[in-house]
Amino acid sequence: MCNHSNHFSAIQCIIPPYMSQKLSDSNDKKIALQSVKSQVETVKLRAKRSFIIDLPEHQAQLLAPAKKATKTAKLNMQVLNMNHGTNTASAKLVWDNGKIISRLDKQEKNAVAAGTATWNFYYDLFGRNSVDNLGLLLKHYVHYSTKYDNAMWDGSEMVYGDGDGKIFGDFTSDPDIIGHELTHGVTQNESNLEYHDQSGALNESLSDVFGIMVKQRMLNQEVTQSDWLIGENCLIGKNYALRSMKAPGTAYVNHPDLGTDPQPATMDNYVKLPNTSNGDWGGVHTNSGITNYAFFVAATNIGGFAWEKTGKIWYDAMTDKALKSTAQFADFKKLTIAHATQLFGKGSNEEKGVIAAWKTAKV
Amino acid sequence: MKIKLTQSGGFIPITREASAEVDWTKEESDKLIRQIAVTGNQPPSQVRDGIGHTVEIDGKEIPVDVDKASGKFADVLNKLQMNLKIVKK
Repeated sequence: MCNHSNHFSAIQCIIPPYMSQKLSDSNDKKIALQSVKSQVETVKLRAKRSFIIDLPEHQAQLLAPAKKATKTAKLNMQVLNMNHGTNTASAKLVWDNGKIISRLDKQEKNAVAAGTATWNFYYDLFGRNSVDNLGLLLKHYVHYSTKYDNAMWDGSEMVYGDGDGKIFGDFTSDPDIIGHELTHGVTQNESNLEYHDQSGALNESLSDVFGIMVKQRMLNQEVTQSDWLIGENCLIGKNYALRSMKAPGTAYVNHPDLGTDPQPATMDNYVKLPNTSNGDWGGVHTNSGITNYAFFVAATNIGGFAWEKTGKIWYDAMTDKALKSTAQFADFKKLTIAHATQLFGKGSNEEKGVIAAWKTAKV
Repeated sequence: MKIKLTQSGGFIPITREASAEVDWTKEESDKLIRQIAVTGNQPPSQVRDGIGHTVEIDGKEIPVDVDKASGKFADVLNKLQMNLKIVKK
């Protein structure tokens, strides 16, 4: 049995101390030498372990081995054409893991490009192999139904409509929408945030946060270069987008059909809506403006490419086992601050940037 | 009697409505409700950004699955779906 209070390695502890001592006193010089050497190594390792334990977490992180994804991880994705039907079983496979089955149209190319970029985003930056981190096949169904004004995640697949052509254009035209839908799959496989009220709005916001970073990375944009708009091509009209993370409530103003974007930017303007389909399940697409804004401010405070630091903080919080399915905005705030501290240190600019962001969003 | 179909939800929350006068009896409207009503008023477990429908008829508003309608009910609901107009907010 290993009784060392701070054992470093199981191997070092296979031989109990009394036995090591006996071997070191052996008349056989070779055995004695080996035993003494082994004990010296054990002492070294214990000293190293003791030193690491006393390090602040951000310094200890520097010594941690880099996250490595499994060698077998690779993009596993298909694009299928619904040809305006609604039965996915009848869809035609047009792209299969890099193999073009039939000549791709614009929507199919969009799904390939942004779907691949999203998979790469999660894999390159976080070592995540697909939405479930187990290599789940990602199926993108384009040309769903007729004049369908929507894109959605159905629990295992994405579907995209072409839009009515008057108010909405096709929903594959913005890579942030594709990144958004795939991130619903990530959330489903992590905290599985309940889809109503604050937890639902947080669920929506995480999809926007990672959707916008997918777009920014595709365009190689730093935080100051991004428009922070979700669905700017999808909603027809030069001055319109579906959501603004930089200025929630301004994505569309006095739109002839839609009116004005209802998103609040700060918690004091949280919109209480009924937990029904008509109430958008307590305003999940409305109140997501608050946490979207917190991310925008944090990313702006921290600077650079959003995915490098702020995105890492948000990803660690999103995948933290402490994030419960019923989490409220304040719970997520605490987690992001904790991860900013863990990653970059107490009193770091990154930690301060995150704290200030939540204060600005009044959460 | 009047039947109103409401469609709501989606990537941005948009409400669309359409209504029509129908000459159904109370028994017929009850039959429609039994045919298309969905249990409870909760989002399908893992669908995100999905679209939902409700039907208001005979003083009741019920979450429904319009694809479950058949016969003359399906005809009316299909027409209502084609005539859905955005409720501006």
